[in-house]
Amino acid sequence: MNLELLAQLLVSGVVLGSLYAAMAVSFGLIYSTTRIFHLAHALVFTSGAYAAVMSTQWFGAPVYLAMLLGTGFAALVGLAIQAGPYAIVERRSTESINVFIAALAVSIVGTAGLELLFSATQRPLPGFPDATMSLGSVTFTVVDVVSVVLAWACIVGVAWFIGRTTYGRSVTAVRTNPTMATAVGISRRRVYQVVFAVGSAMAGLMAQFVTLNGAASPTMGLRYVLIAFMAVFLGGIGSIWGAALGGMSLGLVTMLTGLWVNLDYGTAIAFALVILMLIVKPQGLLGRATV
Amino acid sequence: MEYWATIAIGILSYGVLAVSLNLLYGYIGELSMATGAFFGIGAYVAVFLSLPEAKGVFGLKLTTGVSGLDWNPWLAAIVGIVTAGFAAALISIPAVARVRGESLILLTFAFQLVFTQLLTSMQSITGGDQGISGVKPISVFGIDMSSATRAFWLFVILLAAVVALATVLGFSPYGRLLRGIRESESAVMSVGKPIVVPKLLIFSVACAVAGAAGVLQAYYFQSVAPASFNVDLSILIVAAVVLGGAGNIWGALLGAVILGGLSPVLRNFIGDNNASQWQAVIFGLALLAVMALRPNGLIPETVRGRRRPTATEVIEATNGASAPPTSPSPATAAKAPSAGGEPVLVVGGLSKSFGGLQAVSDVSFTLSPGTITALIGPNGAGKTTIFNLITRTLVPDTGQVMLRGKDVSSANPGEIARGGMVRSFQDVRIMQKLSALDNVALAVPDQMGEWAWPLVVRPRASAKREREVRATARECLKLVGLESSADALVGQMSFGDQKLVAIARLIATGGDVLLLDEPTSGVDAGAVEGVIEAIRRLRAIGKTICLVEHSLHFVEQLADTVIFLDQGKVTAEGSLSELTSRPELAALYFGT
Repeated sequence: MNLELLAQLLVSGVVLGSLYAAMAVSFGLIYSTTRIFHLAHALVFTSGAYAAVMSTQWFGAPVYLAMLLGTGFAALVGLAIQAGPYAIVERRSTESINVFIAALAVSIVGTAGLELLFSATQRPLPGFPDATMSLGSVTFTVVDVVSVVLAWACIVGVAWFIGRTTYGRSVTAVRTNPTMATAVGISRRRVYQVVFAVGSAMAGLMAQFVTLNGAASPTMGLRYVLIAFMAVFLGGIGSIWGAALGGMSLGLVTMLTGLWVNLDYGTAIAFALVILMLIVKPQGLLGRATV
Repeated sequence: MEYWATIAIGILSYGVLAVSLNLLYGYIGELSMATGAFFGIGAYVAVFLSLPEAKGVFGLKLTTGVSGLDWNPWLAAIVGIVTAGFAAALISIPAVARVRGESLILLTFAFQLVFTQLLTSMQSITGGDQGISGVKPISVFGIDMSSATRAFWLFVILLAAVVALATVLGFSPYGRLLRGIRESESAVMSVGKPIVVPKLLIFSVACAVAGAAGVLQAYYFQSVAPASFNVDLSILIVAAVVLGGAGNIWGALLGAVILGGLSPVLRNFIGDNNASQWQAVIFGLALLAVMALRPNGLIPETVRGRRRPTATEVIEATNGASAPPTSPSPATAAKAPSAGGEPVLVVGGLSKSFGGLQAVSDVSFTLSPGTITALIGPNGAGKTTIFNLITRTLVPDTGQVMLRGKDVSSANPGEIARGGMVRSFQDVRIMQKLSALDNVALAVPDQMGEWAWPLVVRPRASAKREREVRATARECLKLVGLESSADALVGQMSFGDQKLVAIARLIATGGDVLLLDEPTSGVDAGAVEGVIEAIRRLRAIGKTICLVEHSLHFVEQLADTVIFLDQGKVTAEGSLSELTSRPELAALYFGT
């Protein structure tokens, strides 16, 4: 086996896996708490990227400020989607699938809207240090290092928030038994807003690194959100570390398939593994079977 | 003309896809996000198989040209359609067996993305991003596809065939079974009906239909490209079905007309540039508005069975059901109506623990034919758990269950139900969006129309059997005193009546051991008498009944034997008066 290639793919796998893990935690936090299959998370992600790109193009904002603005803007978009379409449809309709349909509708409108506003052109986010570092034969970029560090900082932060703070316990209460949580005086609406804001900001931040490595485009988000959802299922719904583990595994598998086949097939193989996993262990890696 | 025909073809092709998805979402409530992929599988397989070998220029093979297998286009079309159906069956195996709802959405989404990815990566077979062109033109029924005005008719024929298929399936016993599965899988299983095969079948049929649309489209355009089969299309089709109204073919078609008609209108007003984006924006907003204002779609699902019963049905029903309780008709008669004979059910040494909690511990009892036995005891005594254990909804740790002398300790719930022991649920689990008659008819065993095949090859025999089934269902409703509301939507009936429909459903299975889990909980005092009457009638026709109940009035009126349970153990057995006279039991349960 080619050890140099293995080392390089492992490092690339960790970089990609960290991004997936952060996306999985952001999506999993929202999904497990609200049970909304929040497909429009893709739109949140994309709007975070565009907010950063456009603030440099229109107002000449420095790249770090632009990234910060993009992250904040994503949080606002997430909150707006929750307070608008989701809340309205949830009030009007008893079937939970209808909220998913609303998410679908928001995604359709949002993606087409971005194309109308900014055309389908790829828009990069310039100005971030693009130096390449190497460790032996393995190379990686500054963007890689910063993204891995920030991804795990976010994941640990969310785990701490949910596991160790009083408000985190309220979130857990709403997740496990919404009716009871409301009965003991926890505001479900408030908890929804908090998880949407936190999850959306995380997605917005990750979108910055995807843009730095490539460019923003109206359809960039869907792929990451679906991978995030798969990671959540792989790890076990309701578990932060499970989602992170799921994301990390998907990233590593995607890259390590490069040892044997063309990397084009990496995602397909990772998806196939998730499908197998759903058959063998439906509750996920770290999830518990429900009685 | 050509212009209008092109638009019409777009609408017709959306129509086929919408009806295909409606077979899944409308009938079994599963949403597929991969309609585009199955559409594409049909198209690509047919094109690859029928395409001539690529001719090189001056003896050199062109690097981008895809070499096909040069099959007969008809054969290629059939293989394309079958491949789409098989692929759907494969992808739906995990979905059918274990995962539902959101996991299935995820699974089909993943499949769609992998499909698109493979179309672009597997250059040598699919032609990559450019796709494949140069498909030979073919003609069908003497109609060639050289112009849109002619090809239009082929699309009309396909859509008509697909609508006919969806109608036949939808209004057949098979459709009833699928809707039953949509409403409550556990209830369908509890009356001994299959789940897995019907679901696999509908997935295959629905996706083969999408594949057929793909084949026709590919032959019409004489080319294929990945962009026509991507995730955006899948999403739009879902949107069209939901917008029009799931579960209703006309709704799906309306959705397709709106989807397909919107973009030509927009092109006329704002030009070609951004028409498809504006189409998506308007369509998405319309969908949001519908979700907020009319969540069941523009044309919601209608209740089948609103039609008046045919004369023969009424006659068969009155002939059959005027007689009970004195002389039961064959359909509702118990298999061994000899009261006081050998026990029908023998339960021995049944135990089950959940973690550290011993829910049921060494429970043994027997049920004699034609008698009513009541399980009573405080909450948490393990009464419902016993029902779950003997019907194998839960697997016991130890213990043996003998049903009419046959060991059913390792049977599955369906086998037990077909063996003649059926149970009701405390929370009813009735199919809210079906009529009372359909709820009951669903449970009648041996319906040939439940398998899609006989519907096609033996339509008359299927129709005859269906008339018998409906007559039996009417008879069962009559036994519980609900014959007048046979066509009412169950979701709109009172809770007491819903419980009676659930009991009628048990009778319809033909089972002779009926396990009733709290038949009167949540039912008002007046309606309780109706339930008591119905259960008495069942005993009179020889059914063996075991019920879990808290109302002592109810138990006193009905039970021949009472089994008292506490903390998972049988503490006493006898008649109610014997038990009430024992002070330690009175203190424990009766509270006096």
